[in-house]
Amino acid sequence: MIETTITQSGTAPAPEDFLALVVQANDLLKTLVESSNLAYQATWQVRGGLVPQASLKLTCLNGSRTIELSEPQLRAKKSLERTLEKLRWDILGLASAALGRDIDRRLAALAVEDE
Amino acid sequence: MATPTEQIKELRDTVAGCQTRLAVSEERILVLQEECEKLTAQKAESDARQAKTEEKLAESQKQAAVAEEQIALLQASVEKLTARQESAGERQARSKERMAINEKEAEKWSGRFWQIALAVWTTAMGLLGAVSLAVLGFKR
Repeated sequence: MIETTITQSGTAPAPEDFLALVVQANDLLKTLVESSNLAYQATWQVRGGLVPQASLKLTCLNGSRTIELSEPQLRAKKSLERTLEKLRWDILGLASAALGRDIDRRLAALAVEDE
Repeated sequence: MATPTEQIKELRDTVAGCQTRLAVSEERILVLQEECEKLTAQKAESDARQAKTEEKLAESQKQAAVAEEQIALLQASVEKLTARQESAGERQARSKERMAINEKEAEKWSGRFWQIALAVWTTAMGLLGAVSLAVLGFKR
């Protein structure tokens, strides 16, 4: 499952076709994690200007990472799919590391209680 | 008007020119065919690479799903552990509270015991004194 938000930032509004690309990329991300048991949050920030840019922050449990995407990167669907898949793995790595730290912390607390 | 001999010569020249152009065209066709074969081979290689990448991507997605499931299970275990720790903490706090109450009660009763003992001893001494005085009075 995934919760997504797309917002515009900066003074210059992004062109319509760029926004459409972001929406498509967001749909692709939803398809990738739709059957997941974990709760993901994706936040897109779209900036206009001479070279429109989109930043995507993906969060799951305590893991979070942000990537920047330009128009050509959003257009190349296959490459984009691989980028999003890599981001997903990065997040899973961070989430499992955070979970591991949490367990270690609890075990240390239990050891102190036992003493 | 050209003579038949001249016409034949002209026709022969035209045929020779056509043959030269045909040879050049054939050469070009061969070059293009070769190029075409190269491109077909490259396309096949690219398709194979693409298929492999897609296969890897699908495999990666499957593994990600498994990893997500494991992380979700781990997360659920951590939540259960947290709940247990909290209830154990609450139990411990309640037990400490009970122990403190019991200790206070014990102290209170210990104080009362000595008060009662003193009162009993004082009364007993008083009675003994009174009885002794009575016995002495009776003897006299």
